[in-house]
Amino acid sequence: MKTQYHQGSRDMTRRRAIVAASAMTLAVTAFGGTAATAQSYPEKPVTMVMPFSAGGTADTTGRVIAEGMSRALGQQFVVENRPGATGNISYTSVVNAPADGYEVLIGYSATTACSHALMSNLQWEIEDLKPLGMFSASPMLLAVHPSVPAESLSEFIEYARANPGKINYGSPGIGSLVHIMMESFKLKAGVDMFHIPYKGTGALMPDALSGVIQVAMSGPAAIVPNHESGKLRALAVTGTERYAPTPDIPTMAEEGVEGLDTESWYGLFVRSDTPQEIVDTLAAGLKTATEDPQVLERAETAGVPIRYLTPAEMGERVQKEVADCRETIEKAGITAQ
Amino acid sequence: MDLLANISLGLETALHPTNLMFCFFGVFLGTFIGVLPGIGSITAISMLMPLSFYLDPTAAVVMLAGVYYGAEYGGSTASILLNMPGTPSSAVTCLDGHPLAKQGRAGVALFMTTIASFAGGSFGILLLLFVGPALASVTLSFGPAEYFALMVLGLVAAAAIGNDAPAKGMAMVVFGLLLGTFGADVNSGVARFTFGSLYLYDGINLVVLAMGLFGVAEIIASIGASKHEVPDKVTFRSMVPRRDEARGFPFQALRGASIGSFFGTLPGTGLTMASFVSYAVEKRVSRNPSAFGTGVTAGVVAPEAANNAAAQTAFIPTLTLGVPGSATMALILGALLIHGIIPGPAMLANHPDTFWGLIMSFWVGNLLLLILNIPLIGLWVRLLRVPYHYLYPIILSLVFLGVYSLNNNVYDVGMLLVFGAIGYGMRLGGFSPAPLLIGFILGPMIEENFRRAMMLSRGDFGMLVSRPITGAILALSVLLLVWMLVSAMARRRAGVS
Repeated sequence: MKTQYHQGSRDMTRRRAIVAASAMTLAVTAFGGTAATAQSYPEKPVTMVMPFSAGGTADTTGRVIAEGMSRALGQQFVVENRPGATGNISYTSVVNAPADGYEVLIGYSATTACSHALMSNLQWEIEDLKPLGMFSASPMLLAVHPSVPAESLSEFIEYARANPGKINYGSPGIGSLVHIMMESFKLKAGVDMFHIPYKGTGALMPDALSGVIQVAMSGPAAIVPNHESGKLRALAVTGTERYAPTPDIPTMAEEGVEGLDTESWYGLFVRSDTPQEIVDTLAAGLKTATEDPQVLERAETAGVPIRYLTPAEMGERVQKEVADCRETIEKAGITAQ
Repeated sequence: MDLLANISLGLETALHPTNLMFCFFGVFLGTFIGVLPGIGSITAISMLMPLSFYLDPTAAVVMLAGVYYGAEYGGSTASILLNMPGTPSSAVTCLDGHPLAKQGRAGVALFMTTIASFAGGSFGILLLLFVGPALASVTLSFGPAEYFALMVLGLVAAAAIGNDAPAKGMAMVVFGLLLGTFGADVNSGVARFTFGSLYLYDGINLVVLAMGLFGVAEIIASIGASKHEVPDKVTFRSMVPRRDEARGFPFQALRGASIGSFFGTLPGTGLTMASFVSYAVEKRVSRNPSAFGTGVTAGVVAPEAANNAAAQTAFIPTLTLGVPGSATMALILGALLIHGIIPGPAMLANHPDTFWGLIMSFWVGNLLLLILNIPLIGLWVRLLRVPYHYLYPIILSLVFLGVYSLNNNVYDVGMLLVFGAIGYGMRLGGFSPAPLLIGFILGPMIEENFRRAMMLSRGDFGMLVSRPITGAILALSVLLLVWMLVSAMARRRAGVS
């Protein structure tokens, strides 16, 4: 069926319609056969498509959960990295793979929720994906270089208001989750800071540690070790409650900046026309994996926070974040492409 | 803890039988992968990553690191024998390595690169051991303005890297700069030359470009060619360099290792830049620069010492700051993180055995590579006796496999073929691919860092000259440029009279 993924979008729509129609015919004529296949699923190794390169937080998280899925469903779940275009290469390829449940997408919050507001030439839609459940979520931490005279977020906001446009903040790229959240923070806190984009968090860190940029926002993996050694000062976490490993760092809301509760999360998706039995099997497998003591132990060592949401809860979250993201991007005037 | 205690703790860890075994496995695989064109250390390390889940963290990282620096040993072998780089960082080794092989001196070239690799690697390790944590401050003193200045110096130094007409060389540098602009612009997010395709959103991949221009183009060019004249037996005697070559070696290796070590500590610059710049410097300081490109050993010694030194010092920002300088380093960082070892300032205090054990394992690994590679020289040279019509299809499949496995994306293979065709066309026109590659590497870094520096200074050009490091490097670039122009004019006048 559809294996190529670089046709024009009009062609795609037509193809999709044809495929949908033929899938329906198939389902009607060969109902028994489909059911039998679904019952024996998974009968061969399942590919878990990872939208980012090997080695990063996303990859580590994906591999931890793949191990749990393998144990839960008695079949190998193999992580395959298909990086590119901020994750959209993977999203496109999963949407165009056969709907047989053998390609499962490891979805990332920002790629899922913000891509459509940022890029115009995408060849996948939110409706093409069906959530199987969220398995990991971690807050973002806002940190400043020690040279910044602020011990708390409220002090920092005061300092930033006194120095409008003088403070530089770094992000791992135009339209990245950090860029969007920092712009949202600027709007909510009523401050003006200058955005310096980098190619990824790794490229940004030396300038954050040396104070070339005064403000950085990132996940716990990049910020917490530097906070502990005093090279950066973490002032607040996003999310509705404090981050368990750093109970001394307050949330944004506690410091008076309401509504910045976006986290960076990972969840599983399959093509939305995948047979329901297969969807249910995978969703149940994911739930089991997130409760597996070995998975929890490994996740704890690797510093990957496991948090489970049901497919329905995850679907709601995606809908809300798509709307939020579009709103912030429009308000802040972020454009990419 | 003093240094001696650290060394003995490190040696104890590195010589532990399990770690020693994984070190050997890593360097053996690395050197082998390095020899194969197209399959680089990143492919091998990604494939070994899942395995490292189940190993003791020190053993896992010792193995992965072994693959990484081992590949730099092997990388030059294919450059010398087949005119195809095993890794992009060995591309520049083709320039003099392959002519040496054509003169029947492949044994000498391979022997000298092995020794140079060992010298470069050891130099890097010594730096890591004695001043590693202190060198981290060098990394941090380089902001966007300093990076910009350094890249400009690199571009000026490398401008005459090819051996053909200067105009052709310049044209190729510009072509490389143009190819470097493909993809989403970091500073504005605007997609440039993507033709509406998501595939080009991240620009052109260095490995795809290097393998296309050097590897695939060489294979196309060799269709119909007969096999090399190969000596029946490679004796140890035939590997011995000439007296003048041996005399120059320590200086060449030292210059290469110093340049390589410097670039290694700067995240984002990479091994390829280290080897290209050291080749350019070697050509500049040589009394006989016109011999470069015809098969001088200095042209293989310096870059190989440089990329091996850089492979070691690249661990400085990774381990002491937690900042990976390249995609491969990010993988090694990931392997540590999975086991809850957080590289950075705290690693020395919390996991001294892993830190020092790893560093000492580098040295054990380099020794193993030295012992492993010298007997292999004879074997590799004999590889040339395999007729081209058997050898090249195998190599081409390996290149395809390696390039596909970078991103699991078939478009990379298509792109490889495009650059193979372009590379073949360039050969026919007498254009060297080496200046193109250096333009491609430096261009995006110059642009990105210049624009970032301008953003930080809010558009004030004064920032570029007022900062001491930046001002000094830019002044050096201007001096070098003036010197090049003056000497070119003097040569022309001498030619006329």
